Amino acid sequence: MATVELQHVTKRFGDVLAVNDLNLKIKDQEFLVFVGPSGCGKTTALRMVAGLEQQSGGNIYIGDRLVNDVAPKDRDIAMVFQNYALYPHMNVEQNLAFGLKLRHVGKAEIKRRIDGAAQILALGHLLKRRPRELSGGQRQRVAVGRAIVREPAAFLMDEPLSNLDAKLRIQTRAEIQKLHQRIRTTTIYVTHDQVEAMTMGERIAVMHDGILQQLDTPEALYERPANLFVAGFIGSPAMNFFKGKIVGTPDAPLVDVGLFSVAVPSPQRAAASRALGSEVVYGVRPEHMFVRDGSSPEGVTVEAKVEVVEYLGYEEQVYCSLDSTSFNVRLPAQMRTHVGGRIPLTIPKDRGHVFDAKTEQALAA
Amino acid sequence: MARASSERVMPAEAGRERASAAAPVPIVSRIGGAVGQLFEHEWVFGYTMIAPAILYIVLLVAYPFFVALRFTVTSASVSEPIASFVGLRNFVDIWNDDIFRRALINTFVFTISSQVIQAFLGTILAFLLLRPFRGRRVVRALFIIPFTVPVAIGAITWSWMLNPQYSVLNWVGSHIGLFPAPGPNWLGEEQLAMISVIVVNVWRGLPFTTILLMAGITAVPQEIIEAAALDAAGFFRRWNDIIVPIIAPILFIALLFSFVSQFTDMTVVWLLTRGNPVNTTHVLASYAFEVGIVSGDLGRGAAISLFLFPVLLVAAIVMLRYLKSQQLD
Repeated sequence: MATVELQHVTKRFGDVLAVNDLNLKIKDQEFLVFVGPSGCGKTTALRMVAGLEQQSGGNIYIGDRLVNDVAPKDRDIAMVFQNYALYPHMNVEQNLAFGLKLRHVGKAEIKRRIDGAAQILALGHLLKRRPRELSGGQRQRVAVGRAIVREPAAFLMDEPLSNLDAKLRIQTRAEIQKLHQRIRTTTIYVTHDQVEAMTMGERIAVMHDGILQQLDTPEALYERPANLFVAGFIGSPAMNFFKGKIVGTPDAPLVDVGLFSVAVPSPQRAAASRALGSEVVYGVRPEHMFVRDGSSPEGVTVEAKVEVVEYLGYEEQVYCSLDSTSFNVRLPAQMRTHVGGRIPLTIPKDRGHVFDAKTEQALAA
Repeated sequence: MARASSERVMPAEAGRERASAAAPVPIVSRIGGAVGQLFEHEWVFGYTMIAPAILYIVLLVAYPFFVALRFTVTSASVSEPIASFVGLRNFVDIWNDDIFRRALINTFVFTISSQVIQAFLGTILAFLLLRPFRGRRVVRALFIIPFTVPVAIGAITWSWMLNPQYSVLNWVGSHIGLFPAPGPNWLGEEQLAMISVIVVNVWRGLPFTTILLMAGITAVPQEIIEAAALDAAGFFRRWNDIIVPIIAPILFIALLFSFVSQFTDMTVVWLLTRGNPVNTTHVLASYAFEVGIVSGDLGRGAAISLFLFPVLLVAAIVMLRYLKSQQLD
């Protein structure tokens, strides 16, 4: 059990800056997720913590120990790889025991740990099998088991679910969460899948172009995205954006996007009043818009044209247009929206987000 | 099966199309059509396709092999090709021949030491050449040269470098004070000659061994190596416990082929020493050539060259069996 801290960590590959001045501290027992599109530097960051890549600058601490020059094997971490990286010529038991034997753990202790891991991960009946005789999900469990038996200060997981099919991925996602609740080992988990990040992370570090965009709880990322990238990346389908301008009075600033004007949400009102006349981007999530009826919350209502309807059973995803601007909304399935028709959509007063068009940062709350 | 049948259909259709296209049918097309019809039968097409391979094996491998096998039990010679049956006398003769026994020992010394040295140096070189460094491409390209130079040219170059009068090695060696001039007579003394032959053979075979090992090492997924590193496996553990077992199938095939080919190879020996000094560097293949072709004693030559055949056959079967049982993924 330990904290992991990165201070001004940078990684260059030739001219490419893969990780740019990364600062963050993972708390003891925390489950922290690095998320971002491919090439954003999340895996590189993880590999630097593991010691598989040497950082070009900055310091990495595991616990209180500076590990910059510590070999991977001496960092007291265990890693779960995307392709599991099981030793193909060893059976499950040998795979689990290999690292322990090399660390001169006693035979009885090895057996105790393997039995423990096998019980947690339901591997008992597979111990004598070789990796090629296992299904994808079983291999994945062995890979996790190999990390567990080491009893390390921290787990590093590099997209461990991405090779599983959709159904198994959701199931295994829950199993990893249960596992973490049970053994509480500090975990850094890398994924490109924002749903995985939102469901698993206690805190999430959103990365883009090697830069940490926002480090926060899932709720905060969803409710208060720090910039346009986070706003667009978190949530599915993605947030709708409209270009506009701050108008109105300092007491009641509005965003004018041309097609409609909407009040600046209250948390951002103060900042907006200082920025009257500036170019902004107004964002609103598809699930926050409603078809107007008597009980609709206060807001602005627009007449949108329905272009495409994707019926999902429990809801509909509706692609709409307003003049030449497209956006989408999530509506209850019983709406039975018709393609080509027009619907009155309400954008609730306080559900929007305002971003500076130039800096792409959210207007300060 | 599906592929064979689609191939089978193609020429037939092509033939038919051409035949029906115009009124005066050219003779070539008519033949094409007839052949196409014939190829409609899967067995005709199949055997036609495989015929060149069968002809090659029968005429150039099987027939000479059985002729040689017959020679071993006859007194055939260049002057007396129609020979009489002599039973195992050729084998008794060669067994009582000191040069043969020396050649037999030499064959093992030559093969095993070449293999061991190649494997050892090849492993080191493979790891070195896999590491990124400035100019790696150039070094890799240069390194391949011994493998691409025709053996004869390479060996002749070496024979000049090892020549007692013109040796560049001796010139350099005596000038920097390694040994007094004129220096060792590399190809003229028993042990030195054997060492020289082995060195040149290693020089020739090393690039291939190294490339093979590089291919093997690269075939091991990087993640597995990294997992082993995190599991506290140092360089030798990773090599010994992870990489070698994973690439064992490749290694075994490579080992099998190079053992068999080394046991039956005479090129370097023949080009460098012709078995001299005083027949002390002969291997079985070169001695068989000397006795059977140069001296014309076909019976004994065949007996020498086939002496190790049963051993090689058994070794090959055992290794291929082992290989099958070891298949991983």
